[in-house]
Amino acid sequence: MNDARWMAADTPEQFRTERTRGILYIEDNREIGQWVKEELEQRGYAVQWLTSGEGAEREVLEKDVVILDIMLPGLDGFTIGQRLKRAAPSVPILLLSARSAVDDKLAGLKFADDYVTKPFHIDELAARVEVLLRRNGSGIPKRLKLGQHIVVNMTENTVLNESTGEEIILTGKQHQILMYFLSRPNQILPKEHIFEAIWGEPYMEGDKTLMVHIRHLRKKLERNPDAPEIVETVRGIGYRVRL
Amino acid sequence: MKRFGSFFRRYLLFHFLVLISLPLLAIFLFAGVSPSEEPAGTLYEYRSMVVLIGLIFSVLICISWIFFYRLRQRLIRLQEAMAVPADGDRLPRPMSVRSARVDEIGQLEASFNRMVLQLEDSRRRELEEESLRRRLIANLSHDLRTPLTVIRGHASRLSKEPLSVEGRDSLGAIDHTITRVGELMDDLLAYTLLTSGKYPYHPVPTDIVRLARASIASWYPAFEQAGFHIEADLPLRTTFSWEVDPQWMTRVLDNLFQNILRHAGTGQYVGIAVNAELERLTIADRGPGMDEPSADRGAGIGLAITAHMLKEMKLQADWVSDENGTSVTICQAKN
Repeated sequence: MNDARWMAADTPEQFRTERTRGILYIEDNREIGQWVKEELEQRGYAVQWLTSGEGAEREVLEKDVVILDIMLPGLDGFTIGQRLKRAAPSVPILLLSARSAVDDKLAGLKFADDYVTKPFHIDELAARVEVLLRRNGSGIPKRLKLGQHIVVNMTENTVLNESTGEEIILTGKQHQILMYFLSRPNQILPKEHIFEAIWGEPYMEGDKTLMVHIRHLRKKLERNPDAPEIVETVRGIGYRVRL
Repeated sequence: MKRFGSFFRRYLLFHFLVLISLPLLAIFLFAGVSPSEEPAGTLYEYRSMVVLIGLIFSVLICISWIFFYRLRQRLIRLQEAMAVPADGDRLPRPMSVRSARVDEIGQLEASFNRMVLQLEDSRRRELEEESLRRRLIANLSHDLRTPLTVIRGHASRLSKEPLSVEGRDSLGAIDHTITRVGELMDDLLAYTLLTSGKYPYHPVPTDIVRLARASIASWYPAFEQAGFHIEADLPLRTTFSWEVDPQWMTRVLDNLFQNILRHAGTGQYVGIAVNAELERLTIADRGPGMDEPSADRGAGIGLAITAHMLKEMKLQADWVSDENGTSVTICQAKN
């Protein structure tokens, strides 16, 4: 199903990294294969397109992400995907298929990282590839700008206030929260999800720990913590950091 | 061919034989063939008559008892064989019929066996047809999706060419229609699986406030981009659980939000509210109402899926819709 939620997910300009990301794309339909290859290449990826799984185990070692069709001549996508995962466990796999039954999705997601059904929208596919790369660490740029004055250096793990030139020192939890936001930019994150990801324990309704940490984080990052520009509150739902 | 031997006729024959043979035997014994030295009309004759009558009754009772005992045994066997298994899925098993007993009950047993075999055959054909239907829909869905993707690819290429405003509008309409057909095929497949009980269902205690918050969070950017005013009235300190499948519940909310985005865009409003005390979840819009025609309105398969899923999860949806908007309140079913 083409999900309206993915249509809004544009890739932020500053998320484009210096290095060209490699995609291994396995699709037997020539028209679809040619179209997707062209579109992804126009978006700055280096795409290697194969019409079957032959030789894929060798190629996957040099790629950042795999896009795999399920209905292929010879070995099907499920078998090829499992072999690719064994060959390169760290490379995320996105299954691209005309099979939309829940059973197929469940079988695919046992080894794959995402599942997109045809007829997909190319923007949705590109957005999902971007999310996989980001989750895998290969899509995050070295330098991110938040609001008008904060610069985060992802390799050195530093946060700088550009307007004053001072480095901002964050506590361990504040840093973890900021990194969690930056790994999911523009998404609205419910407070339960943030809490459980950072503290690793179930969220109890009414717990204000996260709120307190966000308040302290805002004091350090925002020009005016009462009218935050970086860590946005979405009333009744959660928080969002826009890039 | 087996000869029919009536069970009841045999019983009547035994009775007849007893009633004829025993008095004849008595006459033979007492009235000539074995002459008695006792004078006629004596106490001995009366006693002999009483013994004879007693003997006839005893033999008749004995024959009747044997008859009814055997009848009962066979009827009980038949009744046990006919009992439908408790799980309702299995059919009764055919029972063994002794070839020597081709009587009324034997015929009933044979008819019962024929009926069971016919039912088994019918069930087998039904399962085959169901499997064929599901395979057909799954294959159809697959076979249509690939060409739809190809069309989308060509439309995408065309959109990069210099086109008139009408041309661009047409391309937009093609893209929109492809999305819609894809969704309809998804819904059709899901509905087929749901109604045939093949859609995975794993109910667990589910925090509804948390689920509602995650759901609206994932739809927020889409509503925001479409210019909707979004209102989330979700309790911060209280919550409640329902014994539902979180995937199903998420799909229900997705269907409702998708519908608002698609049909209630003119209202530019979406609201979600959870009342933890009354254990109710409400989703509202300010669109033109459900009776108003919409360009994208289909056969309502998405709503049929929602209704089916809610019913399976023992929940109910109360709809209120007029020209000022629609709201749906989900709560636990009353009965």
